[in-house]
Amino acid sequence: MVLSGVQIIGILFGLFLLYLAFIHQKRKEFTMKEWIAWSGLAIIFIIFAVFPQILDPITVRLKFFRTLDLMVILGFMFMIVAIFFTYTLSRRNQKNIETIIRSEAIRETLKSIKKR
Amino acid sequence: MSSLRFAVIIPAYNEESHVGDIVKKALEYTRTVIVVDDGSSDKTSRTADNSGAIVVRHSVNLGKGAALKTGCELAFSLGAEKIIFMDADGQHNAKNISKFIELLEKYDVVIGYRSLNFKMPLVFRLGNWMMATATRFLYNIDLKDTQCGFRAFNKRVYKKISWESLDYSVESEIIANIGKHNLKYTAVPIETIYKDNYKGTTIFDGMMILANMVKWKLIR
Repeated sequence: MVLSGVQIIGILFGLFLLYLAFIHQKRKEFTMKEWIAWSGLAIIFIIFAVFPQILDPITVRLKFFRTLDLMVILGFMFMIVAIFFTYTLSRRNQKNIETIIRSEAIRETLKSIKKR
Repeated sequence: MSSLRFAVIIPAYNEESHVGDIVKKALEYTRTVIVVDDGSSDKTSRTADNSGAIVVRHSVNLGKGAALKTGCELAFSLGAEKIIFMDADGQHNAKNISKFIELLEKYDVVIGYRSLNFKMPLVFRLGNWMMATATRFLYNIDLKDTQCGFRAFNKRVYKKISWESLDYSVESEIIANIGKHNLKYTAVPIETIYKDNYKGTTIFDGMMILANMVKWKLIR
């Protein structure tokens, strides 16, 4: 079996994702469930990269010309969902930080006014 | 002229060289000058405090919109009925405070406008023209200067004009809210002294403000 350049890049990317999941689990930043989920995703990605023919039934049914086209579309969809979640999460965190800093600042000022 | 009924709010970020002067001048017109130090790394807080302002300090930099909101909430908790915003870089003349207070008897919101003459840096002039055109087109509000930070409003309209923006979009968001709620507003000419051409809104900020204006129009 000869691997193409795209497959090698896919495998390396999957291995890198596996490494990141492992590191985060070792640093106790991931729970066991999170580690299994991210590692599972990386392993599935590697399997699809090595044996792209597994996806042939879907590729044929959805009338994609190549498996790579399907992967590109799925990649874009995943990216948009990831951006959306990151955006909503950062907005929520931003609002929380703003509220905390404001209430702390006002509390401190009122305290110092009372002391005067 | 001294009154408890209104408070001057000055958001400041690294403005130790100008804030003291503007606080002293504003204190000639009101007893309540609140400086919101938005996480400065210099002596802005100390300078403002020594000059007689009430200082409220954000532990990290949140942006002008957030600083103004903090100032308003503190001012209302101290009993203010009218609010005046001024910039900390010393470009606004405190003498104009009287004009704003007078006009607040008739209007809900008073917005200052700087004359778009050659003293104003070219980038600001172009930016102002673009913002004014967009404001007229999107909100049907005709203002010569939509980005002027010298403005005033009555407490009763605070909830209506209240903003979500943390950054320099705050000025445009207030105007968008004035249009949305059909509030009575007027514009008043102010004198401006440009001390620093590199502070304030950048071209990138301007683009973000324009994008936000379209967003508020579509979403709200």
